[in-house]
Amino acid sequence: MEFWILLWKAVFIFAVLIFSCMAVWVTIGGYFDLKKLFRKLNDIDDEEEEANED
Amino acid sequence: MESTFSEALSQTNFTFIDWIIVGVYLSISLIIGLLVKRFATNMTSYIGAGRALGTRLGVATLAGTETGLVTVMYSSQKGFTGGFAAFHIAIMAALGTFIVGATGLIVYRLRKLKVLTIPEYYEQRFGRKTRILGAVMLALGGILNMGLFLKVGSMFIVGITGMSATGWALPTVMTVLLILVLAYTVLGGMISVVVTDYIQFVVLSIGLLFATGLIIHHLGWQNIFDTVALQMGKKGFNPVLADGTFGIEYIIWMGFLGLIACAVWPAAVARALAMESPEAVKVQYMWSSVAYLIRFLIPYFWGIAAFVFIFTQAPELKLLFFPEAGGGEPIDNLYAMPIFLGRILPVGIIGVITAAMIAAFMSTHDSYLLCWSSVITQDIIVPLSRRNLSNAARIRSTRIIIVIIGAYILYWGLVYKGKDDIWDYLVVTGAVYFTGAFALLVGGLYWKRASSTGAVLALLCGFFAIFGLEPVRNAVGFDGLTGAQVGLFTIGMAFTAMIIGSLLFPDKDNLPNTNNNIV
Repeated sequence: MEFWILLWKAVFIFAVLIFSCMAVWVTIGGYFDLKKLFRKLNDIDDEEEEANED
Repeated sequence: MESTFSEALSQTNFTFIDWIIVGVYLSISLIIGLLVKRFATNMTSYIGAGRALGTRLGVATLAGTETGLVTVMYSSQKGFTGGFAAFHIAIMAALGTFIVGATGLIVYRLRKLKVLTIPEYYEQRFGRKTRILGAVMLALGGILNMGLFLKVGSMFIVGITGMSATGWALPTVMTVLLILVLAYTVLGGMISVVVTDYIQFVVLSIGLLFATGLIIHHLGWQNIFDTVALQMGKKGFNPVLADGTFGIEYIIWMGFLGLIACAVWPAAVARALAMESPEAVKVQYMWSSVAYLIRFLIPYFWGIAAFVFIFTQAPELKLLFFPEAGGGEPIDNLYAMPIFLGRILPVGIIGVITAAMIAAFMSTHDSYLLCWSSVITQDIIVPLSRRNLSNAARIRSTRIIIVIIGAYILYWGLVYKGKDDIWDYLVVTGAVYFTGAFALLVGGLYWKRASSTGAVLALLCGFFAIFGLEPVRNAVGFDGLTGAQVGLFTIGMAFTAMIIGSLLFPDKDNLPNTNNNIV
């Protein structure tokens, strides 16, 4: 049983640490990705409007 | 017993301030749904976010979708009943997702084909009939799977806020949450889903980590392990034990699930198909493996902590959840974790955690509603329709179906009385779709001789998975089998049907679009 207790402790600590780092990366990077997404959707919107006018 | 239970629920720290925090969060979500509505002008934008997601946003939305309140609830239930041994499920899920990311299994090729839904690929490879049958199986398994999300999510709200668990409270919470989620899914489509997924990721990450820290501080790190060892013994740690909660068959079943939950499950694949490039899909999956690990691991830990709390600090709850012989039926153990959080988290923090959980609830519901409704529109209604439906008609159809599915999950949540753990219910209902779909996608993408007959037979095998549900097993006399055994057998059947059907009935050369496959 000692082996399993040690294993689950290590897994839990490792997972929480790596997730904390990932959360920071995704939070900051995701914000810039969102801005890029809206720019692209705006472009698609403009293109559709131009196509409709033509 | 009921009055004791109501008394136990009422001892929460949830106050008016916490309701304000939750209200502000929900208002922000609705406003976002309204603001991004103008971008949903065609089907690619409405259900695929214009295929413009960057890697970090892709990770956030995949993690946000697959970490729902229902995930937190069923995982905490598994931790509560299985102890630390349940951690193996999280490891299998993370490994499976990492392998899919590293190899690009299924998702890379699907993204390369630029399809909007999985059944759309079925048509390219196997013809229109397979697309429609595949979509029917997908919608059936998916909607059945989603049937308990609303009820389980609402049980969390009832448990943590201290409302009465009997009478009007649960159906009222279910109805209010459903109306909220329907409103902004119908309005904004995938774009509003992606934005709220991102917000959910941020709020939920902070909430999960912060609450975990408070739990450890409250119960003591070593005390948690010692109590589980004392009360559960080896079963609480070793998942391989034959007489334990899990066993080898269950672990193999979870290994398979870990792989396909991300590679075949449509709500996850929809994120891959919305990415800006096939290469970005691989990075998205490799990073998301961490989120797939944590989305199970932390709720397991919370369930274990609830168990420890009940045994060491709340003897009145012990009598409710583990009544002595002749002491009546135990209370549904899904309530254990929310009651526990309601008692240990301080005012303010409990509001933030509840808001984070409602965020998780909404982001999963909107994604799933959008996923199943778009499949029904794109892959059943449009192929069966004799005329070419306009974008506006397709979006309108998708929105109507979202509302119909919403009504169904409200009804199903109120009437279903199965006693399986929620996780096992979800696995079995999902298996109706994914056992056949896995054989179909692997065969279609990686085996030149896979034929439409083999594909149809493999899909139909998925129906057998329904025997994994406890009420169905009991009704037909299969009560000697476990859900895991039924699931593994169904996978074997689906692959055998795919191979034998393809070898005996190969396709003729004139199948529509067969040359579009990229084998």
